[in-house]
Amino acid sequence: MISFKNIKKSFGSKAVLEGVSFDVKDGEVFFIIGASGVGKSVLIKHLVGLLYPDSGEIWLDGEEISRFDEKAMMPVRMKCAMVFQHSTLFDSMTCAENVALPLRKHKGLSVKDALAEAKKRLKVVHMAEFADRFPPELGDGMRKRVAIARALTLDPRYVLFDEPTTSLDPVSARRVDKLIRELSTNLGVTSIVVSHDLASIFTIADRIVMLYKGHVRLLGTPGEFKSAPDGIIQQFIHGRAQGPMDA
Amino acid sequence: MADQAEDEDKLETGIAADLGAATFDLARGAWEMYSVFVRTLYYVFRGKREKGATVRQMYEMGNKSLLFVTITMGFIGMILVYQSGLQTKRILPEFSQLGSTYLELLTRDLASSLTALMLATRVGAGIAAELGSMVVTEQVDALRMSAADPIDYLVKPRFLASIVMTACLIIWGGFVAYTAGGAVAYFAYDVAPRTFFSTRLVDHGDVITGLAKALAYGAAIPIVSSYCGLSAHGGSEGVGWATTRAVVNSSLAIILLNFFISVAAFVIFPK
Repeated sequence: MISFKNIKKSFGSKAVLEGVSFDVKDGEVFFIIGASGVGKSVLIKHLVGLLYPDSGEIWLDGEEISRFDEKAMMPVRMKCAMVFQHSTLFDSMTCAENVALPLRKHKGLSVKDALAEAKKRLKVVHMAEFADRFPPELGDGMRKRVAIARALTLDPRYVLFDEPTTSLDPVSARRVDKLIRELSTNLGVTSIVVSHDLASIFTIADRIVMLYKGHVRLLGTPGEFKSAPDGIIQQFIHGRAQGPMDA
Repeated sequence: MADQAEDEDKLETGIAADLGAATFDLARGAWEMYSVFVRTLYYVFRGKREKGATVRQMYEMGNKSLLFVTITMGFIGMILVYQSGLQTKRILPEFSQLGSTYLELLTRDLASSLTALMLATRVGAGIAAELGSMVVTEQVDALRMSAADPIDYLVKPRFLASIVMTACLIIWGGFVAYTAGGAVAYFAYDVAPRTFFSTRLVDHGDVITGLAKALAYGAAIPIVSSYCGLSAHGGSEGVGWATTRAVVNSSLAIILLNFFISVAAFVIFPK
């Protein structure tokens, strides 16, 4: 289980998170929503030590990890994989080499063994035939699938998705949604998804948290969000230009 | 009057605060750069080698800078000898010392410093732009997630490649500048090649000083530029700033190192 307790984070004089607290249960597909710049991506980066909170605690499987140094974070990063917003594959490596990198670095596999394992992982996301191609030769959807294969290569218990369907066509986006749902249903993987994609949110989410002005606005199921009387939530989930949310 | 005094107080406080903040930023930057240097050295001796990474960087830095260094050092060599000849002619129309003095100056200082300044613009900017882009597109975060320390994975190969290739390019640049200078001396001042290409003023102190500078510049350019690249933030504008800072700070580092190594050399190898 993951717990964020009263997380505060500022960049210079700009306070982004002003006391965010919530729990994520094991095996659920948990969405973090909110307006652009509200700190959704910032929040999930705290979980894997890419950012550190100014104050507050982060608990992962009964361990407080918010002050772990880079070395102590390594087991956490094996347990919690991350799929970045723009896939962030390394252009100088082939798809197989990209997927093999965490195997070599985290598990110490040889290049040959890591590449063989990487090709198996690419097969799962239907990218085996592109194993020897370089990322710039692929479309956004294909790159995203390779990035997902790379994230899953260490068999993580938690996967953090940062806007996984952004810039994808609707078909590719629904395929990614299906994959996230299957990870939870079939493998018991806990997924934390940062997204603005309303179709994804109300199709595959078990629970949702909405951040607004540095605080949790509502935490609940998709049904609870749909029936919430809060005007700000209704404006956001219906994507209305006019309403009580600040411009 | 009271308002004016209050305004002046505020202005002074503002200037003091700005100066304090700037000093603090400078000290923090210097400490972080030092930290990058120490961690790079640690990985040089303790880290695993990524097959082909250093050789690839050597090609990028060395082979691809060869034409640039050849052209710039060739022209700089011609200008230096032509201008030196003009000055010499005004005082003493005798050019027998021109080549040997020029070679001493090249060996001790100019070949290393001028070539390194050229490399700071090309190699330094390239490193900062590449690493800065990787930071703002989260590729560095992805590396950290893969348990690959960016210092080990990105900075170390550039550091090793730069030390080797900067030294090679400095030797090559010095040779080109010397040869081009010899040609100008022959055609402009009728100095015979046998007279110009004389090594009698160059001693082992000059050679050691030149090599020490080559080594120091080769280490400074990737460390300063990598630090600037890795501290980039805020998208393409941030990458632009990182690149500019890399060129300015690398050039500054070269000038400062030149001063301190020259002072040390004059003490150790007095003329």
